[in-house]
Amino acid sequence: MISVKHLDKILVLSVLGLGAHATAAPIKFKLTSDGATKPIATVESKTEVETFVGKTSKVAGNLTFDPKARTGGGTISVNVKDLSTGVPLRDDHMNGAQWLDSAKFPTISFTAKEVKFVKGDQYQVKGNFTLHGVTKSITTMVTVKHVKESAETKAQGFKGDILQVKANFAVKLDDYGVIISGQAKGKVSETVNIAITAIGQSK
Amino acid sequence: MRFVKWFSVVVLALATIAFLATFAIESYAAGKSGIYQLVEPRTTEDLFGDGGVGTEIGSPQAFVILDEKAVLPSPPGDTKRYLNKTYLDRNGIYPLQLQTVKFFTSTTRLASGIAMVLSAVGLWFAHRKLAKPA
Repeated sequence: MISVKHLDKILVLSVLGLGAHATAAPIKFKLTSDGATKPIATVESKTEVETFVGKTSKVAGNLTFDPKARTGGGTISVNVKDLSTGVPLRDDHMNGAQWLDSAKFPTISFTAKEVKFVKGDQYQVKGNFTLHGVTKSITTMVTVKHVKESAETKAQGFKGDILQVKANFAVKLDDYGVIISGQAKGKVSETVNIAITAIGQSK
Repeated sequence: MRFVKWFSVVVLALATIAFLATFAIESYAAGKSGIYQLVEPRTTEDLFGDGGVGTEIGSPQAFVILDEKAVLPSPPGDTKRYLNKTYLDRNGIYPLQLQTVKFFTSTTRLASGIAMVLSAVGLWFAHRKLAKPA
């Protein structure tokens, strides 16, 4: 089992630029849903009956991260049809034309445009968020953790360096053309919380 | 008029049972509930030093716990309580929220209350009609 002390060393080496990649170009990471990576993207909505979460483990994308310059970029996307709330009828409604209209707008994506280091593992990221075919610029805090390839990462099935990205932000549905009407009006919150935890591998 | 009388009696009895049952159900659910964070437990080592027991799904909610095996032990020093989403999915258990129970009990309470009033009016009306000499 990896010790916290050991992990600190890995992170510190990475941060100080003493590792093999310190003088190299930004590292490219690919997000996949297979193998050792366990990405999770969720959309949480509060309703009169319950607070439900649409969840998927199918998160795709490409990221770059420069541990020395502490900057990066990339795109993360999920297919709306992959989001599951645990209730098939509700999934059908969510995918329907009245809501996220997955037939017309199949993906939800975020593309990072400006990455600013804040402190520790925290970064302020400004980028374009696309939902329901509408793209808007948003700024959110993102936690980025880079772990260099090691016996521990290999033992767990990861290939190359690994990068964990965690983001959590709220979006107002009507900003993206999702208008709550009819019976659902007043019973479903107009704001949903979006959370992403994704792990990219450099090989 | 006898039919109205007996129908009102049956409706009044059923509505009263339903009305009282909502309090019992709500009390039972509240007793079995607590604030839990739904998580997908980590299957690999905590390489990123995240702590906790896995990836959190949504925000903490008041869940009604009907199967204690779904509750994950919290790591030492962690005051959060965790609910195992993987276990729930594998066993086909939908994570019931106290909010859902309260929604249905309050709706049932309102409906049964209205039914009680209407059946009482029906009973009074039938009784009055039957009491009058032809």
